[in-house]
Amino acid sequence: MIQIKNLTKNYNDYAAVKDISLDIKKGELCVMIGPSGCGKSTTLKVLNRLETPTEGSVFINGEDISNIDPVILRRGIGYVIQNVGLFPHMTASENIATVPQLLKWDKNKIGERVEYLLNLVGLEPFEYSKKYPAELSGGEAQRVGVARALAADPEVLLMDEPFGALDPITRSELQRSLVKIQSELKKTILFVTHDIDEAILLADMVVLMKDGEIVQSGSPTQMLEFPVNKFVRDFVGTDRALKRLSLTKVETFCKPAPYVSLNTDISNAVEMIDNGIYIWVVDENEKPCGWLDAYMDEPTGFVKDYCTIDSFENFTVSKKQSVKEALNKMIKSGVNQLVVVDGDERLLGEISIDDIIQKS
Amino acid sequence: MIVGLFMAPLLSLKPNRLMPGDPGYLIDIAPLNDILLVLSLLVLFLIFANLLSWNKHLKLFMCLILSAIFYKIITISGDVALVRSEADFLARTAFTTGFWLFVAGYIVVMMQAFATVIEKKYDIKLLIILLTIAPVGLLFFNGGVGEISIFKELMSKQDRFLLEFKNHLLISGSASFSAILIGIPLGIYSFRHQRLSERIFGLLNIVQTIPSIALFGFLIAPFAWLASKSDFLDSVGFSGIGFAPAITALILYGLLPIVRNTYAGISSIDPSVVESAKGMGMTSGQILIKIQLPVSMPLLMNGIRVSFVQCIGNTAVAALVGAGGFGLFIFQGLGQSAVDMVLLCAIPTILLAVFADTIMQFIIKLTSPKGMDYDTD
Repeated sequence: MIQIKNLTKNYNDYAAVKDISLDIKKGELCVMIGPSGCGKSTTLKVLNRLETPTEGSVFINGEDISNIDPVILRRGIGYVIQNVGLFPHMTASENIATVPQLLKWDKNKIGERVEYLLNLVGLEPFEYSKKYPAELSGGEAQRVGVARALAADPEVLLMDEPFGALDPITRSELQRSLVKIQSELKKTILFVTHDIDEAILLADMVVLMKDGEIVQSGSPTQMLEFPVNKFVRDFVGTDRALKRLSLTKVETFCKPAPYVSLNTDISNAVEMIDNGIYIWVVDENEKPCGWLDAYMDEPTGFVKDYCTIDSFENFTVSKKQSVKEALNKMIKSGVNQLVVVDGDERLLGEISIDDIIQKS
Repeated sequence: MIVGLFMAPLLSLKPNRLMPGDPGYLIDIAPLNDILLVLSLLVLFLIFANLLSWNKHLKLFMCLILSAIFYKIITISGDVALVRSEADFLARTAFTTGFWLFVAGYIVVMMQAFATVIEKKYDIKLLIILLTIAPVGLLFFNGGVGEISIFKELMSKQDRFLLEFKNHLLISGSASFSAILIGIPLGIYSFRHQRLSERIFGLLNIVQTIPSIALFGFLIAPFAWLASKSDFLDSVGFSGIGFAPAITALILYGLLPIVRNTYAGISSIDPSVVESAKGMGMTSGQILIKIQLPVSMPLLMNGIRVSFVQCIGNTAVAALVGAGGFGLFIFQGLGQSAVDMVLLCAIPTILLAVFADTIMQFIIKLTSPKGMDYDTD
């Protein structure tokens, strides 16, 4: 989809980008990452011809972009920047409608498109369409910015540190939104950031740059497992083992676990405790609600009379959550294992810290 | 205001148009019952003015009282003038210190009342304006008023007055319009060529520091020379004195506020706004028309306002190089030490400037883009 061939960009004597080549496949989210001044933003701006390469060429859909009128080229590429740059005298809707209007779309079509996009980026159209940028929070403004970039349904999206100016909570909300949007739309995205966690979360492919050159490129897992040199090792951080766990889903380490229902006779339940310590307890919907300890003095009655019920969400993880999150919960709750539930919150099995350490 | 009414002479009682006159205090010249009426109205006004809570009805009532006092004073003056001119054909009765002090106070109070009206109450605002100018309007129904010196001056030069009024509007209007046509592109140009912008502003600043009289005079020589060298220029009425140098000088004066504010307006836009516009595929013309000009509109219009108001004032000076306008009468009056003649044209010049300013403020409000409330920021 996007091919960068031997791209070099010099500013006077200073070489910002040195002879880099890169292929980005259709529908792939490629994250370019590196310290400031490594040439990642320059490379991105070459793609919509805001910068002119000194040498080398860029092909989009097989066509050399230096042969395309920059104005036409840019209308076909979504562009999101760190400072958003919403037009302050236009409402959210008018901002989003900019490129479709430049392309002279039909009015009704623009209206429908704007409404669809506002919903897509998680803004209620009725509430937000008439708001001016000054009335939006930073996160809302960047959601509008993303919607504006997607307005004319471009195949390619360029995002230049789009979430860099947001507070951590808003940033992770927008990151999750982007993951969701990308899973729906499958755009070809070049995303520039200096935040390694953001890169690992979002990327299909990570390109690590330094001093205008590509140091390593590949999937996030590759990057974490096989850093090519000390620079990459340092850049991904000393916690790269943990970072890798953030890419692994809980279901990978989930193993079946015995459980009893609340209304089981207690003597039957005790027999089912096969590890000799505890057994999970579920309610009538098979939703985990507590556990039963093995050590009881002559129990009579039902499980529900003996079951320990605590604020149980501290002991459950969803199979779709990352192992890193599961570990975090174990440490926070001071336990060695958690119950794993499926999408309907039904008990699926358990995950234990020993398994994570032994198998990863 | 009270000082104006009672401590200073209200009217100047002159034997003829040019000779200095005797002071005429309100207490001396007015009949007793009129003085009592004015006094009681004033007392009423002062009592209300010291009440703590003003509601809109009370405010309107106070404006009404003041308006009535103003009207009464003018009619008293008119009666005095009528009596005096019937007795002596040459006698002139002119407004003087006391009257002008009162008018100044009157305007201040009325403006205060106007300014404290809540934004959206247009009906109340309109009523206050009507009350303010009502006494002046009523003048035309009072025979004596025509005998007051300043109006006599107006009557005797009515045609010329209207002509110069038109001239004044024409000169300042066309100069301002040209300044806008040149100034906005120049502002945009200096934004796009930062290096040249310093020179442009340096030049315009120098023009601004030249006293207006000097600039008008300064242009006479080169313009006369140009006219003498070119038959075409000569044939279209281009010469060292008159319209051409006047308008040229006024345009030069008017440029700085417009160029400066256009430049400042465009510069004040967040660069990321322009970058995203460019990145979305707008041509530089589209960026200018759809983004830069609308966003900088309030600042830009403010520059035009300053330029226009300043131009109306400067046009009065332009009469010196024979361009016409109210300045003609002002300088004539100064030459003859006929104060009424000076006032007759100085007051409309000021009113015209204030009026232009008000209209421009209104236009600024209309053209300011929504979503960018400068007041609340």
